Amino acid sequence: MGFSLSVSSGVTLTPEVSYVCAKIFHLNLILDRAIMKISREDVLKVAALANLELTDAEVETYRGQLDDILTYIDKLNEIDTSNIEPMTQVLAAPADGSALREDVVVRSDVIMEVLQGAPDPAPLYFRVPRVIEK
Amino acid sequence: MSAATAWTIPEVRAALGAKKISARELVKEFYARIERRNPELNVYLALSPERAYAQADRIDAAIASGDALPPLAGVPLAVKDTISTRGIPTTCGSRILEGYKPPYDATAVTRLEHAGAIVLGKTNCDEFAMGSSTENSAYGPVRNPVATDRVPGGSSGGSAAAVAAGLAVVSLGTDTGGSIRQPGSFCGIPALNPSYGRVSRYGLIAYASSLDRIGPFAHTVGDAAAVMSVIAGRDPLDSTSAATPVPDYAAAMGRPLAGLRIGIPDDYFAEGIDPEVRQKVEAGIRLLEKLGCRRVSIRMPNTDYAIAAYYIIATAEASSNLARYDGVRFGLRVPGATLIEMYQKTRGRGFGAEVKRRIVLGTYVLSAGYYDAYYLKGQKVRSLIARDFREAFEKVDAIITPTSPVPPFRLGERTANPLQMYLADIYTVTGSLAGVPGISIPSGKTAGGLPIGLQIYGPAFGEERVFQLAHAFEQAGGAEL
Repeated sequence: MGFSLSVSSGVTLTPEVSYVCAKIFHLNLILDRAIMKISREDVLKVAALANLELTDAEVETYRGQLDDILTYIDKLNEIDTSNIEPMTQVLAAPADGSALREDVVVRSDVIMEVLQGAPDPAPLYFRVPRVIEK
Repeated sequence: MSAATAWTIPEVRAALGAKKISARELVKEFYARIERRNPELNVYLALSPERAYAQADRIDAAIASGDALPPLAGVPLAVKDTISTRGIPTTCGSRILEGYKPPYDATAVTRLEHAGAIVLGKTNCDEFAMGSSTENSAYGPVRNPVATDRVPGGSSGGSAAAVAAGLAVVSLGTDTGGSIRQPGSFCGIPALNPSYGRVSRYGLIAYASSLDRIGPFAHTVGDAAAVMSVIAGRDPLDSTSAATPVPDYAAAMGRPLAGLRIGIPDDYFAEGIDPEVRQKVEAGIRLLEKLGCRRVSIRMPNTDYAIAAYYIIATAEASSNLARYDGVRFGLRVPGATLIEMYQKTRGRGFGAEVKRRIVLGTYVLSAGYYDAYYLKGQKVRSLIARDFREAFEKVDAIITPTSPVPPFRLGERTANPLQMYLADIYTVTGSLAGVPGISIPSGKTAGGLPIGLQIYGPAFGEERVFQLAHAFEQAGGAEL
């Protein structure tokens, strides 16, 4: 998706205008292909941050797809949000503080059950490859 | 599926009460159906017969001793595989959780079992609820029981198909951007995404925490309301569950619609909508007018930005929530020479393509230098979309939209282009971002017999109004328009 063509309903384009528009969009398409938002290195950097092993083929596929998606997301720049607060919570916290409770210790007794589901349990621990050298 | 084989909650209750069938026999009947249909439909990933028969025997004992029965006594229930069930494999449709058995039950499941429902098993879904077709499951796609060459929608495709195929009476799904409502629409059954905070999410395996919700699928609006009456309400184990009192949903149904104002957002019918979907949803709106509603034209000016904002916020939250799958505590581990290498290999091989795509996108939009441009911008646009809804609900009692711009598509038809798949979520992500409840109900079919869904949005915690409208629509023959 190199460009998007949106025409508000009710607007009629003459053939001449349509032709010029098509030319401009064609040019944009070429430019978009030349100026990619995301490089291979970007994908590799992000994959490293996310501890995600990707094959070469995956890196290339995701690079192209993320490019398309981020180009689409750029449409958000059409709206001025300079005076808008970000929505960080869906629900306002109840004024009476009822969302909070006493911090009480409750026995759950699930250690052995939890460890049973672990790939390499060493009760009462999870075993992992050595992280600290001798 | 003929009407005779699709049980509703009142039918189960009546049959058990009259001793026409025992709860054990009913469970046996449903497992027999599952055995027949599941190889083709791939609806269930795990069955829980031990637990189901034990619960059935408790119900039968209560019937035998003449005890008062709880509201959902003996009702066969299917649970989406993103919802934790103690001792029953819970994979989220992912290889990375293959074989994982949670040590506890989700509150919604606990409450339903306490009310007498019988958990038959876990339903297939898009991996970690990421998708709109259930084709992203690591365990193969689900087929739509209405037309088996079609997808059932997603991500709760298994839960929708289970009810539509008569393999459960009701089911639980989860909805982040449309994952209950769109499969409800595709499978031709009522499906509710409740208000954010209405149903406890304790035990729901997180995808995008500011958006995720649990809600019901059912054959009738009344059955969906009966499930909601049980699962709605404050839970001390989920600090995001609201203390707002739960109204009597059953009482709301049957109230006349006269004078209710229904808002039709012009912006939602502008472009990209299938002509048959448009026609049947318009017919649905006319039916609501005939029932006494007043049609009001409204503007939702920021609709065009919803998909972009949604995919920033949802993927950012997913990249954080899914960091816990590292091969240490549960599920798959792929060995590596170092701890980091083990993480990378486990996650690289354990996650499927769509999940990795969203983790990469989500990590990118949160990374240094891009946070303001993407994540913060997305949250600001979310404020504007929530404002669109707030302002609309000052003028109208409910908002009517299509559920999906397209009828169910063929398996494999849309997998090549993820962005195209995302764009079809337009009518559902808006309500997800705003936190409001929305139900999808059948509103006619295409000429080829494919279900079409009409969505009714209510204001936050306005499930009562949503049920009132949906029930009247259903009773007036909305499904046959």
